[in-house]
Amino acid sequence: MIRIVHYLNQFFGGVGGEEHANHQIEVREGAVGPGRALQAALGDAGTVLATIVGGDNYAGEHRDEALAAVRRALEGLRPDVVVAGPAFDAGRYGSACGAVCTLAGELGIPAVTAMHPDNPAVAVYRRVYTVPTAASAIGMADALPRLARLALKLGRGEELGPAALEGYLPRGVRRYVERPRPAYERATDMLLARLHGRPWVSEVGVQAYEAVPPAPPLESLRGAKIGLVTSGGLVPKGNPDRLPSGNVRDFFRYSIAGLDTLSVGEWECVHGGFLTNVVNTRNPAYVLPLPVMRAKERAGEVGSIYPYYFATVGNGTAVTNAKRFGQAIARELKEAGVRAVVLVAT
Amino acid sequence: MGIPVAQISAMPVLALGAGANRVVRGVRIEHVCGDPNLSPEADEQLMTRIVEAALRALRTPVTGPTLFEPAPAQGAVRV
Repeated sequence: MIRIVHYLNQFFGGVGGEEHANHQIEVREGAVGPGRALQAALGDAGTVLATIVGGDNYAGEHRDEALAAVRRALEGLRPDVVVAGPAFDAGRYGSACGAVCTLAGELGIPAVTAMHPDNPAVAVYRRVYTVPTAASAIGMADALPRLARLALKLGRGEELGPAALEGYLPRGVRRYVERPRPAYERATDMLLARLHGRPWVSEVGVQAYEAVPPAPPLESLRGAKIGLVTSGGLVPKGNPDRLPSGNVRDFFRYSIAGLDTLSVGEWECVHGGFLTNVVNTRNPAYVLPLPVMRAKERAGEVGSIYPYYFATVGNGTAVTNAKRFGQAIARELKEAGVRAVVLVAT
Repeated sequence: MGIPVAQISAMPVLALGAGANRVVRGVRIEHVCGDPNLSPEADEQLMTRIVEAALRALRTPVTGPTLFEPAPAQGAVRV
């Protein structure tokens, strides 16, 4: 008999609505509210020992105290698995569920939650097993049996298979498994299905790029401040900020104030995706054309060059990180009145 | 509203495919904005033509991913 502790917010815990969102952590015996339907879905295989009820605002604004109270409860109850939610599309509730499941994990207790795939908490708690649900409580009856099934598996200490098979949201975790047929057979089958218009499923998900509407052009660059960015990994010699050669999570800015050229020996290219000897021994400007930009500045064709350039390494850069860099760089440049950017991408 | 970006890339097909809206063709990955095999003078002129294509891109309205080619070298003959 798998022993379960269930986390609910103030609404599903029967305390009240938004006016009770400050409800502090409360532990009740047995199943409460939708926990009773969860218990029904578990049948004889599991029992809901206790229900932890927390107000959404309390769990969010007093996160540390809330988690400390949940920790004390879990340490006392020692369940086999923690189930949180379903939170559907409620962001604060989803966030509380994610945090509770993460805490359970830290205590060595498997945990599973459920919410709508677009719940903002999904992106934050990607490593938590999350069963997808409808956007509202209309989906409760559909979600609970799926949640119960995974709760029992986790509670028994069983390893879950791939997300698509087990019915949880992909967590971005890749595991090596042996497949019954070699890759060339599977690939050929996939290709034949595709050519014949039969349904086929890619084994590796291909991320679609977001279409960003183009920014309007500048009528004239005279008088305009221009920013320079490179993903060619050009940094001051010595790589003072230790920019890695690939899979980077950072960008850095370096001063080019008063510099007309980039001298060999004063800069280095740390990009790990191509042979950098040409940039390093012949001309660093090949990945940051400063000398020509300065000539344009002197000639009045552009107003001025922003005194810092931004450097990162475009080698295995995760799209989410690249987006974050772009947004941060744009924020700084916009604040400085920069109206256009020249970016060298290797 | 965003800032227009002219992206100089040695693999413009990749940049366009990723959705970059103003892409300028560069030379090679190892030397995007020039060519060490040219004389220093020709190399600098090449870098100038590439940068000028980037500046032109920044002044050009586009509706989606668009490739901008640097102007050909003086004396270049189309064959």
